[in-house]
Amino acid sequence: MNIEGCEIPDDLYYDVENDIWVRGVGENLYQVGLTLPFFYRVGRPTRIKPRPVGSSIKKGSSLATVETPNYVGALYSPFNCEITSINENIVENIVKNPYKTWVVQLRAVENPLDSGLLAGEEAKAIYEEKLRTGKVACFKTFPEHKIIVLAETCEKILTIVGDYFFKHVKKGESLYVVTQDPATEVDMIKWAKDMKQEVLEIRRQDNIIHVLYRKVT
Amino acid sequence: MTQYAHPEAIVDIEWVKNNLNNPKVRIVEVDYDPKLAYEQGHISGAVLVDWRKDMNDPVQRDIIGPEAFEKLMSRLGIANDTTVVLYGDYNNWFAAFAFWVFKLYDHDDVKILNGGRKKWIDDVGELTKEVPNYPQTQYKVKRINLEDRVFLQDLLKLKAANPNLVLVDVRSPAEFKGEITAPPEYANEQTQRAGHIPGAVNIPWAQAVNDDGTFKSVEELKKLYGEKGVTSDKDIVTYCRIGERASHTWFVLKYLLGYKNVKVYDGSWTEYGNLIRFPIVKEV
Repeated sequence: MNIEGCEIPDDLYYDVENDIWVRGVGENLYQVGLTLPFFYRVGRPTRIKPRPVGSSIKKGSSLATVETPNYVGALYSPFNCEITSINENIVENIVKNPYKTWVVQLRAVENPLDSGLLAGEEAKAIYEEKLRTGKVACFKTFPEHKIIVLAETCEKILTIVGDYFFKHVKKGESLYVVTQDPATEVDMIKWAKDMKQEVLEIRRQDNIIHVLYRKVT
Repeated sequence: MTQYAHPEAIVDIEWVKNNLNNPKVRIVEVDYDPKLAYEQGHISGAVLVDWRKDMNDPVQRDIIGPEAFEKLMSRLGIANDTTVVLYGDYNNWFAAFAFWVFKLYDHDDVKILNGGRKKWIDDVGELTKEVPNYPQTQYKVKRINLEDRVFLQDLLKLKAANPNLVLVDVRSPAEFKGEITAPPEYANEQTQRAGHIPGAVNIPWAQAVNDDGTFKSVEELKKLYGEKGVTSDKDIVTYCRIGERASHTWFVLKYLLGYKNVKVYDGSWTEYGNLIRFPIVKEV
């Protein structure tokens, strides 16, 4: 399924609150990773440090530390388990393929479904609500840059966008802008046209506008 | 390994684990962005200080006044004799700023958790989303300590008259050289001009911490600062963009290395870089 542009595969189990997916891979064995919306929320990871193989982890304790330039938090264990293996060197590619890039593999010491995990379809409505209230949306390609621009005038919003775009975005890279009124979709598209840049995608969510620009020159 | 000059100002993970239920201890998470930190899980029993809302005056540019500090402490259940342990996101940037504010209002016993959020999650991994409630206290600020802070006018006097002064600019090399006025994610912290205060040396704050967020050893720190002429015999003023990273380096110099004369110029570049007819240095 696809929610607000974010791929959420039907065949996985989810802890929606903590943006975690779970895949059964054998008797009592499960792979655990982070969903695409997680990375749109906190940014591109710079460090993922799993706890050691063999660790017994209680439900709600950390399986791994996840760090981005503006976030450091835990990948919470969705059930009581033991870590059987860890996936090394995944920082670079995890945002490109979050559902194939598991972080840890676990042996469950309880039935995961008893711990409140939701199957794909069951998770859908809850995820929709979470993304809307959290103002999170996804695009076809994961952007190199993201800014949230809330200002009093559309002119000021575009000044901040332009300042960031021309100072920090390199040719070929993309910038994800989250903004809202008084900017409109028309303004955001016209700006790109005037600047001879490309709008890759645009999404609207209540009064929030999510725009993905690409620097072409 | 040499002990830090003020070991009472710093605690490790084990200390916090052993004092989670100690009623004389209050653990405080200080965040720049609580939505991505405290609200996602924090140390059991820890209260939140939201750096922007709780540490800064809502109207004029200043830290909170003594009355607001008293109200904040009372709300968090901190009494004058409570041992306060600060930790936070961004490798304790904002926890260090809060430590500086606690010292300005002369709180007796305040400490920093070495390694902050990152080290706690790495090593312990136990977090909660439950927000604790403690009985309100009647906190009183008994003395305001002016030794650790310098305002622009005094900084200018020091610069003119004190050959022993060393100014430490703890921002990134790009900010110091004048390539950028501020990192792009801090849209509200821009200045009219980019560069640094004449005579300042650049020692980015992050060089004082290891990859796991803990502070470097005394030997490593002495070497790092000594190589740029920042030694115990100097009168030292630290600055950054808005004062929070400067307080991190202030903490390192004063409490880990024991240097006596260290002050934070919290006006920092967002003040100095906006002054008219004040010479600055731009290297690009």
